[in-house]
Amino acid sequence: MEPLRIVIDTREQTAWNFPAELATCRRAKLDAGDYAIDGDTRFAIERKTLDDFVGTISTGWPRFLRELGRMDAAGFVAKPIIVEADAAAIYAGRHNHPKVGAGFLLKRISQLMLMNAPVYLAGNTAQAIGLAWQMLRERQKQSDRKL
Amino acid sequence: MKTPPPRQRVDVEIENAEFRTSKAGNLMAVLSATDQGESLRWFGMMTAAPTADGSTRAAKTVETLRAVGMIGQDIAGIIGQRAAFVTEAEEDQLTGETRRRVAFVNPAPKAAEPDEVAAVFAALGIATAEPAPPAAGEIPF
Repeated sequence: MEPLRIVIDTREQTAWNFPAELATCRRAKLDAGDYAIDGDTRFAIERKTLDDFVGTISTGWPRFLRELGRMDAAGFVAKPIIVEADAAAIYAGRHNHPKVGAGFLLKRISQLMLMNAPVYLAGNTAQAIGLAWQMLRERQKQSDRKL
Repeated sequence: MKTPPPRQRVDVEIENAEFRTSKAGNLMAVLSATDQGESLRWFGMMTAAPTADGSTRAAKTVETLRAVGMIGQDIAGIIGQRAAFVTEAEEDQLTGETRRRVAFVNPAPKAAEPDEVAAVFAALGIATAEPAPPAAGEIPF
């Protein structure tokens, strides 16, 4: 299997550690998202811890909407968000934003889905890496078919 | 000076962590770190002032300190730990300059253990160099 060539945004300081035989990674500034196939300007994955995600969809919501708008303008085919937590963490409120309840979080997740920005609750970091790799692989296959 | 983004998350190493007394005489926790040459500080008040969710400022501060690695009351034990500082751009009332204020402190994202990653790929039917038995029933996809 040919390793995927993945670009990791320079602002990601503790990057996902993809197995070396499945992906070669390099750092570069991405205009949007955190992980993309090298050279792909229309698909990128946004990585979030639960704390990041809750902050983004609460106090950071206006800024995030602007970012999603820029991605739409650039013709992104999808804007997936992978959260390194499971649904149980949302219901139990295991994050540092006590004013943000589970109902509000689910509302935002629903709104994001309707904006072609689906939110995936991957469970933990390792499972997030598996999901991200599979998404990027499918995107690579899609791009290859178009050539 | 470059204008900071309205909101930003920076992963930092905590360089100093201590309890101090404010000018008003209130105890507070102070976490310090440096990002791109700029000193960033987070202040957590240790007062009994109530929060919106019925807790207190002190309890919230301790919750944050524990999240980034404080064990017992050993705040100095946090020094050297990694954390995510969420900063917000704020205009300095005196100088008019826009600078970064640390609004929240979160635990830093962690790299996954290689054997956990290998177990995930094993569950996908993809062997990697790190042999690890798949954890049956634990992988949701």
